[in-house]
Amino acid sequence: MTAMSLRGLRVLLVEDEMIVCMDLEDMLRDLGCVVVGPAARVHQALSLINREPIDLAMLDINLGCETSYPLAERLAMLGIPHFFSTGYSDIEPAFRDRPRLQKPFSEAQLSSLLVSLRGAVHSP
Amino acid sequence: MLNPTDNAPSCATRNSLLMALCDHASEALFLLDPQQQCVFMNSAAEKLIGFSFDELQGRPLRDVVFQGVSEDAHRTSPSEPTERVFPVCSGMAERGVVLHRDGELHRVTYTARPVHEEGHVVGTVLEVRRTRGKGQAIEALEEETRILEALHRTGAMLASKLDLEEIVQAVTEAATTLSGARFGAFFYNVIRDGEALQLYTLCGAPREAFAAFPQPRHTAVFGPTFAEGVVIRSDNIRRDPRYGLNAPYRGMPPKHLPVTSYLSVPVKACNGTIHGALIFGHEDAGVFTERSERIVTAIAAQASVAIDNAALFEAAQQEIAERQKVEAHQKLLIQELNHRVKNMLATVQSIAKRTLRGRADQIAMETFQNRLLALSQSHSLIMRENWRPVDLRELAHTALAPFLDAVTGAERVQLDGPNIRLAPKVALALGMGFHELVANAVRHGALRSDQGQIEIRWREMDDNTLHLSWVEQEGPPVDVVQGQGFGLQLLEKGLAHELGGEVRVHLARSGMSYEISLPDPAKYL
Repeated sequence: MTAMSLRGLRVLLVEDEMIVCMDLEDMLRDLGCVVVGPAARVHQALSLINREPIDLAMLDINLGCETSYPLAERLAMLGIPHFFSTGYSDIEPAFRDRPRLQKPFSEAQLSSLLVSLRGAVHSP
Repeated sequence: MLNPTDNAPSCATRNSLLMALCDHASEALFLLDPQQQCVFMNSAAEKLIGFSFDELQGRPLRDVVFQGVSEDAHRTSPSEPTERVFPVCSGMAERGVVLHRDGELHRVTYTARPVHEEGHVVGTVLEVRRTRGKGQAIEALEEETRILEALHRTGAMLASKLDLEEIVQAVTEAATTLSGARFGAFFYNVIRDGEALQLYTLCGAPREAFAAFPQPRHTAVFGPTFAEGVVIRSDNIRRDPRYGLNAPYRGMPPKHLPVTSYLSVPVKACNGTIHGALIFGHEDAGVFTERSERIVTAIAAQASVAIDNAALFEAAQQEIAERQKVEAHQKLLIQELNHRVKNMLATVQSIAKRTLRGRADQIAMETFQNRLLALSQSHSLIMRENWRPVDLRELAHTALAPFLDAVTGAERVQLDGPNIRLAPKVALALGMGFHELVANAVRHGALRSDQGQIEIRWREMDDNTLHLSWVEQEGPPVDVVQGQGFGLQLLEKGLAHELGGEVRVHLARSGMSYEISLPDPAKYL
């Protein structure tokens, strides 16, 4: 049921851990989404945001030497729904209103969050 | 000043009456003009100084009446400005000395009051009273009282301060005033950033008066006080055999404040270490008495307590700051640890999924994933408690919740027992155990049917042993094989073997039940 409603949804994937990233790509594709990226760094993600049409974004917070908060700011400015997928870490107060998936998570958890955010995506 | 009326005496009569009044007064009265020259004195005044009014003409009064309590004050401050000798506006009784014509000095108290006419001061009335023998004891007593009060005030003030610089400044000022010194200094030892320093505060002299000089060294004069804690009091330090022994100055450096009378008192901590020394000077000889020494010694004792307190306070503040730093660092490390645990679990999950993709059946994959997520949930609880013991009820609820949401209502599982904390290691093992038992109950046990129920009860025994029972009821008929799964193995190996507990399994027609006992579950930290 969920996979149908997610079909064709363009999801920007920002994740720096290679293996986790490959798994998330599989999960998103299994759900019928189109993966934009993936990007492992903020500047890569920013250039994808500038170039590609994006419906939704999934952001790992900790990208090694930087965080994805600037991306969350940029996406909020553009009105693109986004959420954090993160290991256990304190989230900056300014970003605590964003939806969050705590790693590790199941496909069911991912798909239900995507479906709830899908409602916020503007139809093209 | 007086308004003459018809029945008032005539002006001349009034003058002679006033003269008579003054002459019969027992106190010596002097009237001074604005230049402080005597323009009138009564008989008592003539008697007091042994000079008649005529003899005194043309001489400033300060030649015979002197300010100050010291009997040789007139020799030491001959050039005091007259307005300071008899302050025109002071109504206060002051102590002084009178030089009688016959050469004898008499202690007196005097009061100086200005005479105003049309808003201007046109003169001063000086009222002088001899302090006789009987008064000296009282005066001495008054003086002691005054000193005691001053010491008390100093002590109270010092007790309220915790800042070292404020303390040493207050001590220097109080001791300089009470000792009668012209100027005083407090040299004190401090350790800042591991470096020993000697700082000082001053009273009665500008800081520039000292700034050009090197720190006092352990010379024959300073050494005994700074190093050995000995009091040195000298009427004339320049004539002291210990003075002037050291190069390069052989005494005071050029432009040093003029010191003749010298008093130095150590400030000693209760453990015997010397905090520093109070040093006082006066340009005149013989200023410091035994009493000055006693006063300063008392102040030094108070100062020592205050300095000890300040040091303790500072040490406590430093310790607090240090502890906060350590705690902040620990928090950072724990956060990093949490982050890594979660990322590692996520990576393991991803590796397993990619490895088993297309090779294992869907149920096996899901079972694995649920176990991993259960482990992760238990970790979340532990992380939230900063790796301190976690609550048993919360742990059970966390493990059961995913199944209760998906399969059946929460009312079919009862949790009942007191608040008990579990050490992280115990919580991880028990959390996994709960996960396996509830997964089993959903697949084969009580939660497989619509009526089945699970009762989880626990209690703590006097020896801190935890007893926990898991009883399934009204489920489908029990299949003997189900009890041999991974869940039971995990409970037996994890709890029984690793944590020294015991697990008993009962197979009944109505359902499976498990009895778990665990010694001191909060202990494994």
